[in-house]
Amino acid sequence: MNKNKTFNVQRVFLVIMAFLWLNSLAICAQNITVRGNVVDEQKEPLVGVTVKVQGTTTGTITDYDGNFELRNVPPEGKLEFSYVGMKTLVVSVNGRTVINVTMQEDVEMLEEVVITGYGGTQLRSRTTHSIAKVDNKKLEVGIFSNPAQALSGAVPGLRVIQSSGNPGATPTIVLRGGTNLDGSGSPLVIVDGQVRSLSDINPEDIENMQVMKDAGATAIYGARANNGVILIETKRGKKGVSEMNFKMKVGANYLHLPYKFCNAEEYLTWMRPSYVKSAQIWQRENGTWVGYSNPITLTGTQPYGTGNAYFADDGVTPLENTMNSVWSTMYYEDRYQFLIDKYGWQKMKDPVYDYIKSISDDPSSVPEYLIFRNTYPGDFNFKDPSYSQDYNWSMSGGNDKGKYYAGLGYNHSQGLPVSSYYKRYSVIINGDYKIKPWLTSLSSFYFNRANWQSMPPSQTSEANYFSRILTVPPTVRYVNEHDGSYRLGNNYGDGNQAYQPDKFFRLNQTDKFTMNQTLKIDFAKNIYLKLSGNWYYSEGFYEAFNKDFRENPTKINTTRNSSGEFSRTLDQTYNAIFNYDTQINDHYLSVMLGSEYYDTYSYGIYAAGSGAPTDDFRDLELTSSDENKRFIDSYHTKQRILSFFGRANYNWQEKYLLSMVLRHDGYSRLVNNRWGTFPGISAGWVFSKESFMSDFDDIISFGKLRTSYGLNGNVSGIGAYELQGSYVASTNYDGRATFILGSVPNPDLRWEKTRTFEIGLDLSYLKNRYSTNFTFYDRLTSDKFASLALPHSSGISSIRTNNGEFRNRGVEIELSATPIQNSNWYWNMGANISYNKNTVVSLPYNGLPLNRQGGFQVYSGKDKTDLIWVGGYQEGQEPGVLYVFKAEGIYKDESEIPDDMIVKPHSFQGATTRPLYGKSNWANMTEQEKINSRGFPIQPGDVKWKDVNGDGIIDDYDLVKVGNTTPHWFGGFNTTVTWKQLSLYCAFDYAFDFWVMDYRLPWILGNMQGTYNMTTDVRKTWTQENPKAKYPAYVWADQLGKGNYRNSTLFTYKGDYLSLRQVSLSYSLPKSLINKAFIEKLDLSITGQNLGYITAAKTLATPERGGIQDATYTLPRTVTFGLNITF
Amino acid sequence: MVIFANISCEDKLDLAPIDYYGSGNFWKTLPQTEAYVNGIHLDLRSTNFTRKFLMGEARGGLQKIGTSSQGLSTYNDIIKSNSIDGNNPGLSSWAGLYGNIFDCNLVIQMVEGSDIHKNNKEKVDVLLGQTYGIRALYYFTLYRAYGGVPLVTRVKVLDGQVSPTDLYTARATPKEIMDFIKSDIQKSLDYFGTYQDAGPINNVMWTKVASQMLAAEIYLWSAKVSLGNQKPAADDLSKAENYLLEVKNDSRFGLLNNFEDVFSAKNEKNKEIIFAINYADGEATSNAGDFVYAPQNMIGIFYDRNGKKIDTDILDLRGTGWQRYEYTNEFWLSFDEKDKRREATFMDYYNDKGDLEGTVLKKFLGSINSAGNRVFDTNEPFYRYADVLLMLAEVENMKGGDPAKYINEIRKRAYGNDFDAVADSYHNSDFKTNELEILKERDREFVYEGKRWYDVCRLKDAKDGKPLAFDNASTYRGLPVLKSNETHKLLWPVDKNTLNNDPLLKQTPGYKVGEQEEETW
Repeated sequence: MNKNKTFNVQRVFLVIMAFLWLNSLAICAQNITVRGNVVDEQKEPLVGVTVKVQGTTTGTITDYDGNFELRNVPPEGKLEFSYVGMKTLVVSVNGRTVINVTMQEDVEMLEEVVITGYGGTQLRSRTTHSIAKVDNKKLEVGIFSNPAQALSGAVPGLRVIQSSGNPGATPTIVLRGGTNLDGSGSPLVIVDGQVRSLSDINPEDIENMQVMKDAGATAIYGARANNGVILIETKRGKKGVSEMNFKMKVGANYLHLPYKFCNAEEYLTWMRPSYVKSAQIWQRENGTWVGYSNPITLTGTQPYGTGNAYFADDGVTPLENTMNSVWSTMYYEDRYQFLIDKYGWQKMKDPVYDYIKSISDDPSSVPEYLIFRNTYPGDFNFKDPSYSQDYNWSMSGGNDKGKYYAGLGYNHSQGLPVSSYYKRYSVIINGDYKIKPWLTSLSSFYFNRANWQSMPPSQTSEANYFSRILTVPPTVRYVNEHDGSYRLGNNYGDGNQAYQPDKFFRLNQTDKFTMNQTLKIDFAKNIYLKLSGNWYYSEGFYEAFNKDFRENPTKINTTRNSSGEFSRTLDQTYNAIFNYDTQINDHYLSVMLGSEYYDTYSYGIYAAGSGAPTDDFRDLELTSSDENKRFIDSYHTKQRILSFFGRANYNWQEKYLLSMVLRHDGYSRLVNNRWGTFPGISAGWVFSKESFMSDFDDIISFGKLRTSYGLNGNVSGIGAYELQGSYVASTNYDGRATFILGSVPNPDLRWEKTRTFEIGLDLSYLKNRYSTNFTFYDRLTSDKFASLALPHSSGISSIRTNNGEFRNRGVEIELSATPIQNSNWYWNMGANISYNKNTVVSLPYNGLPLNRQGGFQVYSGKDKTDLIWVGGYQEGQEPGVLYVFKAEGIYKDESEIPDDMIVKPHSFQGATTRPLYGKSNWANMTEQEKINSRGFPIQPGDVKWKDVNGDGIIDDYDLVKVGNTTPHWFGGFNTTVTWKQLSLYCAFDYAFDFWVMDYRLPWILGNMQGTYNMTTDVRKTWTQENPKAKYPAYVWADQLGKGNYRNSTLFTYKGDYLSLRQVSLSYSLPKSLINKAFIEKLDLSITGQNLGYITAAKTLATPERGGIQDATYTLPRTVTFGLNITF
Repeated sequence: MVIFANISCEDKLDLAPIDYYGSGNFWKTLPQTEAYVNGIHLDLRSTNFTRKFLMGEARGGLQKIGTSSQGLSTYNDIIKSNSIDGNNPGLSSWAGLYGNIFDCNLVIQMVEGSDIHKNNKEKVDVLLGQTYGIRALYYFTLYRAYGGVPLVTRVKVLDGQVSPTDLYTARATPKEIMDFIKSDIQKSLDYFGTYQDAGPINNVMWTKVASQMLAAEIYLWSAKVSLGNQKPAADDLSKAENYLLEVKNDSRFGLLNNFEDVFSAKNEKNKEIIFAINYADGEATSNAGDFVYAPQNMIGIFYDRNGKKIDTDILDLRGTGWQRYEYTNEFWLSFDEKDKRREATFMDYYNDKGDLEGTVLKKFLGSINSAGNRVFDTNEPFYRYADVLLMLAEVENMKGGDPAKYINEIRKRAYGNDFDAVADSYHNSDFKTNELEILKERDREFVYEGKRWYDVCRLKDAKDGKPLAFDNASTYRGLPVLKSNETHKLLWPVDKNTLNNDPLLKQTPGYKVGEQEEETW
């Protein structure tokens, strides 16, 4: 802006008065009245077009049929027609009294239409809500098995956490911090009026995906919408378009692990001495060592032990499937030289040779060299790269009477773990037909089938698959030397996953059908009634059958477990919607009234058995009919919601906007407080349409101030009948039937109520080439559900109550820009950033300070004994803060060991550490006292813990605050650069201001499994040769010893990350080239997806999650080639 | 709109559970009540390991700590080494027993005096006799662990009270709890009346004779162990004796000839077992699998008693089990070679030099199921006839009589044909020697039967003396179970979480951490 112009209420008032006065004056002139009709290029009437006499304020707006009547027009004047999204048109009157015009779309700034639920649509410029549309480019670029995976960074206020690279995984989506105390809470997903999840939806079928954020809008979905609503409309045919489209994407997914594991030689170099080190911590006066490990296993049948064998006792038969041939480590003998020569085995000097000699009865007979074979388990457990394919074929067409769209889709994504995959088949058919001038039928049918196997069936945890089973010692033998066949390893859970995948039959299948029939009855041009019926079948069929498989080297499991399950959920939604639009002069009013009846019924059967006489068939009939061999179950759950709702939108000259919604819901889950009423109101002021802004037209092309206030409810997380209490059958006792109390009745529970207030400013500049949106929101959830801890003596640990208040407060900023746009070049950018902070406002009185729930005590540091309560939920605090021990370095050598320091036992990883004593504390104990205390001296290589209260004792209260575990800031940005036929697209997303702690690396470096491999980070552990190391000494089972690898700042990081989510280069073949082959359009593309993070949390598989995090299925780096042909 | 016109809103939204009882339609029939009392037995089984082993035995000083002889880290070392304190309480949430008490309270509250009770007098009397007996057992377990505990006898949440402030309950005094236990066990016996005085009993369900055994144990404890304001009453000992004699004179029970047969998975309903916790394949298996070996930790590493390398799965465990708990070598070495109980209880193994490395427990190995897997499904005895005799020995010693006949009856059975009446018999001695002998006999008899910790707390070095827990002779390795300055450790500390959840609670005396308050009984 070049002028620093301010305005205030008086000024606005004056402008309005002046405007009215001018209008009234105009009557006296010798002018004419002009009538006319305005349509778009499709000959559809345009409603709300501003028609004014150029250079004056005389003007009007077209009505519902596109008609206008403008009095007092000078016969020689010019009429200016303007409409957002259309090119402004100037027509000379030339004395005509009827002027019909056709307006053309302004392709440069096509005005967006937002959907508002229950058939409502609104021009973006007229909406008073926070409704964000997901750029379709997000859904199109890259390869996704469901649309949730494409949402990272797409919408301000929407945090998408991709914590698993499993192709079938649906990321966690949280809007504006979530309304649950733990920061969770996902939006309601509605696809063409049907509530469902985002999983298994084909992104290609989506025409329009929007996120409704403010309660002024979401109140129309009342009871279930307090975490926002994701509205999806599928593709439908368009009038005048007839085309066929084929898309193909083929991608390669590359494993991207945060760990680098030691090879067998390095493993033995660290593991064998670790047993000795932890057996020799201090020496008694008689010279014997005291520690906590038993080095007897160094010569046992262990991965690091030398008790393994290659040949059976006869000396010639290679061993297989014996406990002593799982691992390759042996003492070197000449007869094993062929293993080195022919099979790549290796030889090294025993790193604990001197020790073994020292304890041996016959030191001269102790062999000096080890022989072993190096194996990296990942070579057997992963398919790297794995491949993904995605094919879509669609046909669409439409004319005045009917429209049609049909699409077929197929996605097959291999997972990284061997024998894992995800497959999706989708069919969509949408048809509309105008049966009578007053009656339109809209029919839809969709079908999605998914089949998947996430991991080999021996596995239950993705975290384990991507960490623990890769730490299987590299001395393991996964291949038989003599014939190259595979071996199991130590057991079927951790061992070679490529050994016997055919032994586990699994069928996972879901079939989801949606059938929708809507009749729209047009009573008049502006009054209609819409009746819809929607059936959604969601079915699952699951079978599992284990053939005889090797459980461990010496045991074949012949249980032959077989199970089958069929489950079905039928959702029925019926609604009736009455809509009325009218325009009286400058007043535009749209009213909708409706009612909805929702019934969901889930039921299924499950049967399992074992002990079939053969492992060839999974037929349950073949399973043994002996007692306790078979298990059968059936289950049924029914729920209903009955709703009444209404909405009124009003605007005056598109300048002053008002919207009101109201919903009344009754939900069968609740008992005594079943009904809830949820109102929403919002208003907007398009101040750029005010005449005082006309001076700035060339700079600020559009400006709107909006505010909204509304109420939502929530009953998620409550079982269908939970509040009624239950008595359920449990396990038999001595063959007798038992009943136990399943849950305590809780009939008075109420709806959670969430009220959201927000205020926003939408601005566009320079003919809409640049735009910004600012939104501030404050969301307060009261009558919050939370389990309230009861005293243990009550016999019930907790009960769900309407428990206090919780606030989300934040700001969302969105920017978009098109700095360059000409015939050869196009450059567009979009960015958003959101700030959110959650606060526990109040909790029910429980007699504790701040009505604290949960939590723990730490030293305040004020004096030696002052303790403060932290963590848990406390009034006025942000939930989710990370407290850990603070590592102030590693004791480098003896001189740094403090005199007076006691590290108390600490329990973690299911074990308890030994007490540790400083120099003089230790020296002052008698030998018997040392033994009785089970303590150890503090030694070089141990961690120097921060003593918060300075009492010379490290105990469980010496924790320091690291920070919050949920990002305060998050967002994304993307840019597209197009040059002629070539286009480059990049998308990034990020989050910052939060902390994360690695759970898995300390488990690995602390040797907590006790025999498993370590990452090469072990080189950074303290040794006498490496006193300035980053990590404490590597010893056996740290959780049983000194606890140097407990939760500490050694493994905490700022989680701040920037993800390079997508880079895509595409090329459209010139039309001249392809038209000869009847091809309208042909695009080729190459896309890189999930290319990596810029973050400090490098040892974590993903920084997207905060707090203490285990390993996870890492997101693969994917390269995809795409082909898109339209005929 | 027509669709909706006929809907009566409330009716359509009233949906009851389809597959189970809502709380509104339970406690209406006798089968429901019986099934709920079966559920109470299920509770007994689910808390059995905690109650029996962790609370009743682990602290008794006969457990290895740190690393087992097979090189595995052992479990619950804090408890086994008596390293418990306010920060490391060993148990949490009152060992979870209030959830079980809740179920007992619910039965009593819903059934006593109800129409079901009136219409099925005998059957419901027995159910109430079981419920009162089991509730007495829970409170007796809590009493021995914590002394005074919150006394909760009613399910308040079903009265509509869900505010925690209404549920806060301070710890009662030891006397209040002991009086309550005595009154509950009396009610149990009253309800049983004479219903079960003859005929066969099912020894995995609570019976009148189980209540008699519990009553004997309660009164013996009351007679010998003081705590705060709870002092022995004059008639405690004679009551204990009377209950024991009632069982001793019950011809349905007696000793088996062969010790090993008592624990045979094929003969679980034998006459020595008075009450046992049922384990069954397909229902639940016991924790005995944590006391054995995994093949890779045994085979090819250790040697048998004759110096031969162990090269097979001797106990036929088939890969099920680990060594997370192990009895001390000193304890095993204390057995007489002639004592058949040693072989029936333990498998011992050695290193290449012939030194004893360790032992595994083979008393409760269960069976091989039809799928060919090892399942630890042996019922675990809770009260058996040997306990009657050894408790009688203890009564006799308190009375100043001769406990030797009871001890010898047990020992004779244990040594079988090898028993030498001259060399192996015990002869009456002074009070302390008698008590120590009773302890040793109980130790060998009741390995993994949940007695040891209670025994070293109850058996004393003089009539008004200190528990044997403080005596060097009690652990077979010259160390006491507890040091003389650790008398507070006769009870357990309460975990912080439990204290935090109820501001009326105070810490057990001697365990104060930071600003905590302690009980002063």
